[in-house]
Amino acid sequence: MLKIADKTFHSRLFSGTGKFANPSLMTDAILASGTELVTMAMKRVDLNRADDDILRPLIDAGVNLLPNTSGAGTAEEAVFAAKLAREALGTHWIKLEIHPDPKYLLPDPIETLKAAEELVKDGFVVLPYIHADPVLCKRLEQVGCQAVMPLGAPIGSNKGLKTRDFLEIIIEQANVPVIVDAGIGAPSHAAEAMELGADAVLVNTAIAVSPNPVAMAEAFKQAVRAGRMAYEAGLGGVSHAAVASSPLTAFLDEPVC
Amino acid sequence: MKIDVNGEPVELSAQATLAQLIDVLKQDVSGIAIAVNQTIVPQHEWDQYLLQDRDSIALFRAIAGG
Repeated sequence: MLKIADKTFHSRLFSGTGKFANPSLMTDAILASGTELVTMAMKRVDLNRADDDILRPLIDAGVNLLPNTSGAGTAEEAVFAAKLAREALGTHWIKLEIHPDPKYLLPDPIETLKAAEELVKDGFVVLPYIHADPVLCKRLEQVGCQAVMPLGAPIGSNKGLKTRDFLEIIIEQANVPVIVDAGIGAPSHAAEAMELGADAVLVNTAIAVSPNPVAMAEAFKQAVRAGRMAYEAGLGGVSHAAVASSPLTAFLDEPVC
Repeated sequence: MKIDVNGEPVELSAQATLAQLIDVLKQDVSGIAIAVNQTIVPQHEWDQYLLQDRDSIALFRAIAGG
């Protein structure tokens, strides 16, 4: 069981709601994944177009909602977005996401730290999305973030844990839950993150853009469980040379002692 | 009275509250947040909040995202 702030989770797989072909497919995939927390974004309403209603199905699915501040380029914009999200969804949980560069969508560490401090003071449960910077993670923890969300690779890239070595350091040093978020492109990446000791992973693109999102969601569910079980069971040491599994005797010649 | 809603001019013939405006715009009230002149107005105030001429309203909705 995973505890973050005032909530407890049985599933260590968190999911995004973006990029699905339609709300019905999104809901089916979310249910198949077993996730108990999904992210959402905030957007200015287009008065001339009706948005797909995804809120109702998510509420019916009984998942926790984690709005993000995507679109914000500065701490000030992110704080404003967080307050809008709190109003809109009635939750004080926020995924703090500030990425002004549209090509790589890498999070701005300075604006993120600034916004985190202000939002924590305003009573938010802040989950900051950041690069896998161990020092930054510690700073965010110190200002009161209830978890940290370091990236594996750029959003939507499906590259896997490019930041693996630094995720290891973060996991070793963190006193708050570590949720690997962004870049997880396959269930094997999710399992890898869990085997390293991550507390949870957040996956969106890999599930949503699969030709069969429901099956992919199930695959991720199993991978996260397998990875966590392996971590808790204890993984064997890694060595350069071979370490024999069978007795080292020539097959026909020597008796086994 | 002329107001601006998400960049679009809206003409209101009489005094209106925020709640009435949302009605007029046929917007679903679940999952939305409103700022008037960059200040967020909480939902429990929408019934009493009277709009003024030249007010700039920003209407936001929770949508799909990662």
